[in-house]
Amino acid sequence: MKPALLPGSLWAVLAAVFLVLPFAQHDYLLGIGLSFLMWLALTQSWSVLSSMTGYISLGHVVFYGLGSYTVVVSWQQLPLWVSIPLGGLLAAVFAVIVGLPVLRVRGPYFVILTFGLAELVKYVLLAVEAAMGVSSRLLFGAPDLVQIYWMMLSLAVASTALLWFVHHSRFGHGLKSIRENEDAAETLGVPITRYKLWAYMLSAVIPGMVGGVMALRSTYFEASQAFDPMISINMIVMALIGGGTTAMGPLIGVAFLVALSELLWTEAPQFYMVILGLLLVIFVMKLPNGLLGWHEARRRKHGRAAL
Amino acid sequence: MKMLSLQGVSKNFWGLRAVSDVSFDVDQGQMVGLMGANGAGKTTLFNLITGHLAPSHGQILLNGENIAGLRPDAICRRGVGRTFQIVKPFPGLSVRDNLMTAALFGSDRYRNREAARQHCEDILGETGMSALADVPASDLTLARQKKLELARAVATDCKLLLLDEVMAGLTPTEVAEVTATIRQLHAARGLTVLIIEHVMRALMDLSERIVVLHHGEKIAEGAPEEIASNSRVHEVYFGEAV
Repeated sequence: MKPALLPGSLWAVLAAVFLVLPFAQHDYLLGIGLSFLMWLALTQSWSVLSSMTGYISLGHVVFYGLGSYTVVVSWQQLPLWVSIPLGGLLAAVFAVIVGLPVLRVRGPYFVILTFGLAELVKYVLLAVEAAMGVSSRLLFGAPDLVQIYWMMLSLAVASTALLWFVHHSRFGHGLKSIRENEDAAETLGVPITRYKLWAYMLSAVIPGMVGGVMALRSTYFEASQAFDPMISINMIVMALIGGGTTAMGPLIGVAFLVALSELLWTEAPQFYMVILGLLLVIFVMKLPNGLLGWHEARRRKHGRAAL
Repeated sequence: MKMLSLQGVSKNFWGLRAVSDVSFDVDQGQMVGLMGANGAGKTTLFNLITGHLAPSHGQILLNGENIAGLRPDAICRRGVGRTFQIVKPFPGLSVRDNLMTAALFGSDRYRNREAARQHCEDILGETGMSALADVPASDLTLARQKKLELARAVATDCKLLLLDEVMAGLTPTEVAEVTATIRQLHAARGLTVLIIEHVMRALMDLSERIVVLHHGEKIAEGAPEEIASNSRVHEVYFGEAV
């Protein structure tokens, strides 16, 4: 099949570009690259749960925030190669603890519950920080942009690989069955509770680590920013615009929105949110399967016409 | 040899006794019909056997092991497959991928994707669905969705197959076709089959033995001709004794 060749070579070209980018000595470009990689890492991870199982998480920022907090609190006490993975680990542990009750709830209730949970953690942390007399924490001596970039590149690659492996595995087939009809999946032998929990946990690890790396980038921590619900919403919109369950979908969505935000940032930053909202409405109503889904449906139609 | 043995199984929904002290056995390789009016407790009984409900009392023995209260996926892996009265296809997946879920997860035999794929091709062939393998399940007619439901249950590599009204809503030609498919699967795969069916002809044709439920209680059990002339069954069905 001809079209199958495209994604493989596209990934190779993309990897080459991102490997060369830091040597261009261009901070603005590197910043955009970092932002792209960050969203890619987050959205691919989000997809492991939400695209695969249909359980739409509107609270994935909670893992990002927990990872951020871990790195900031342990700053200059733990080396980064310990504290960043620790952030991912804590995010995963948190996912397992809350996952059992949360994943019993389906559909819109799950969406609202995950959102509420992330907000709850944010306000608890704000209260804790206030009680300790800390309003924001500063990081001195954080690594430079190029080092942060390399960390983020590895996370984006890991996240893409994770989604790829899940998509092509027996486990992934089970997750897709859960999305299509949970009762039928269970009747056919899919251990639904265990699988949903695994998916939730796997989708939390990398966002936790991304949060940790981004704390180094902003060099300060404030709960209301590290737990900003906009981060969760961005992940959903990016995945939705891309569509599909493969690693290709988020890539398209992330490229599209990062480009859009860069274009608007200088001219009219307030428009970004307006356009984001509009896009969300248009895609949900007209292209619920995203650009990738739309493209595949067109290909199928043409394929059938050719028969 | 007893494959399935229900011993004093009851299910209460709050005050209502949906299934009341039902006992019967199904021997290996048998085809047994389950008959009764709407609300007699037939589907509830299926749900108890497949773990979608836990019985309030009684034991359900599968090859001697009590499976009452286990989760549906665990019961499936012990060799029980079922279809649903209201079909539950995976609409966004192809017919083949619908079967793949059953093959990959229904038993330990086809965990390997290549082995699972081959197994699915076999079953698609046996059920006459090979030509539809790549069609999304959402594009199938009801009759074909019912067939998919049957093929998918068999793809779990089950030993005991529970069929819940697979013929409802089908034309006489389709009923004949599905009856033939069930008979063929039963013979070729050595399945033990328990059937709920409102299409009486098909039920009488297929079953070696029939169990009749009424208001959750077993009121008769026997060969089809015995059931057809049973006065208690006539009373319940037609309001008068023969």
